[in-house]
Amino acid sequence: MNGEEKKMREENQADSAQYVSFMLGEEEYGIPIIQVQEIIRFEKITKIPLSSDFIRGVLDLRGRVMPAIDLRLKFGLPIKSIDRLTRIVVVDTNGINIGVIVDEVSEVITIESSQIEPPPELGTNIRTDFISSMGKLEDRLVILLDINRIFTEEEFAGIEDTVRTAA
Amino acid sequence: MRSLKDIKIKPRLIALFIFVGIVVVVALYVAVSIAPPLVKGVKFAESVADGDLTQNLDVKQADEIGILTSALNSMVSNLSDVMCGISQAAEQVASASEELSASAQNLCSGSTEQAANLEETSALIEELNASIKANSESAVSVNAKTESCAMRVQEGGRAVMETIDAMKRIADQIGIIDDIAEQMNLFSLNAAIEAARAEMGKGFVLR
Repeated sequence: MNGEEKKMREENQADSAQYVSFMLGEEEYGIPIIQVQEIIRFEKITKIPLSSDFIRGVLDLRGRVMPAIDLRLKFGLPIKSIDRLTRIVVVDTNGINIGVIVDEVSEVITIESSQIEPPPELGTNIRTDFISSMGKLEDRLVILLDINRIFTEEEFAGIEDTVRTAA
Repeated sequence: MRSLKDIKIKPRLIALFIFVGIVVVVALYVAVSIAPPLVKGVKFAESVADGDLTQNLDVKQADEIGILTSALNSMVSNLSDVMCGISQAAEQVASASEELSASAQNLCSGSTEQAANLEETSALIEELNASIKANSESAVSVNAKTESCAMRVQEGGRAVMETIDAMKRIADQIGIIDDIAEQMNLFSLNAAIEAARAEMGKGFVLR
């Protein structure tokens, strides 16, 4: 109920929204800033045996243990070695904090609602239900993700298990 | 008296006459048989002395004159043979001399040429000498320049090393600066996120 209210207020108050944009391969992606908790540098990840391969392990962020997801693996992109630009975006998805490993975090961008297009039906190598919409900026396209839909329910259960195992 | 005297003198006179006659005959004989061949021999000897060896003494007598004649003849013939040999030898000597002369002339002209060549060679060697001297001087100055060049290169090398050191230090500093910039970037991103959440998440509890 609160969520609905908030959405309505959002739509009424502002016709623009802020996104944290990051790079994954050649593409630029955006996550609504409200779903992002924090951005940290890549730090040591503890591997958890028998977990799904896109779960790189768990990380300890100031005492909070959370799973670290390699979005490249999740999106079927080739593995890239960790470098000094690699970042972990801590997101809040369905009440759980997850560290999402990305190539590089670019900036916080503001996208007008007029710049937002519906997601494409075809033409990208990821399932389209992850994609809430496309941000059409002046010089580039940003794929706007719905972080709550990236993982299937099974995957999500796996993530929760992993956290529980580690904790 | 007189007749007696005549009678007494007469045999002596006859003997004298006979004796004189014999002497005259002998003298005549001698004159006839010895003098002409001797005159001939003298003439022959004179002509031989003059160099004529073609003559032959034509006296045929069985006495000492004949022996002398034949001896003279054989002498002249031997002399002629000897002279002939000498003449041949002289001819050979002459031709050899001529050859020798020609050779000498050749030698002479060769020597002259050689002398000229030697003079040229000498001049060339002198030039060569001068060139070598100049080269040597150049080499000395080149050596000096090379030494100073080497010193400069060494100095340059040291300077480059120092520059590299400085550059390394700068690179380290830049690394630190990069690090700081990244951190600043991260801070500002997180600050933006915090601000957005604070504004938009009012009254919401996001566990």
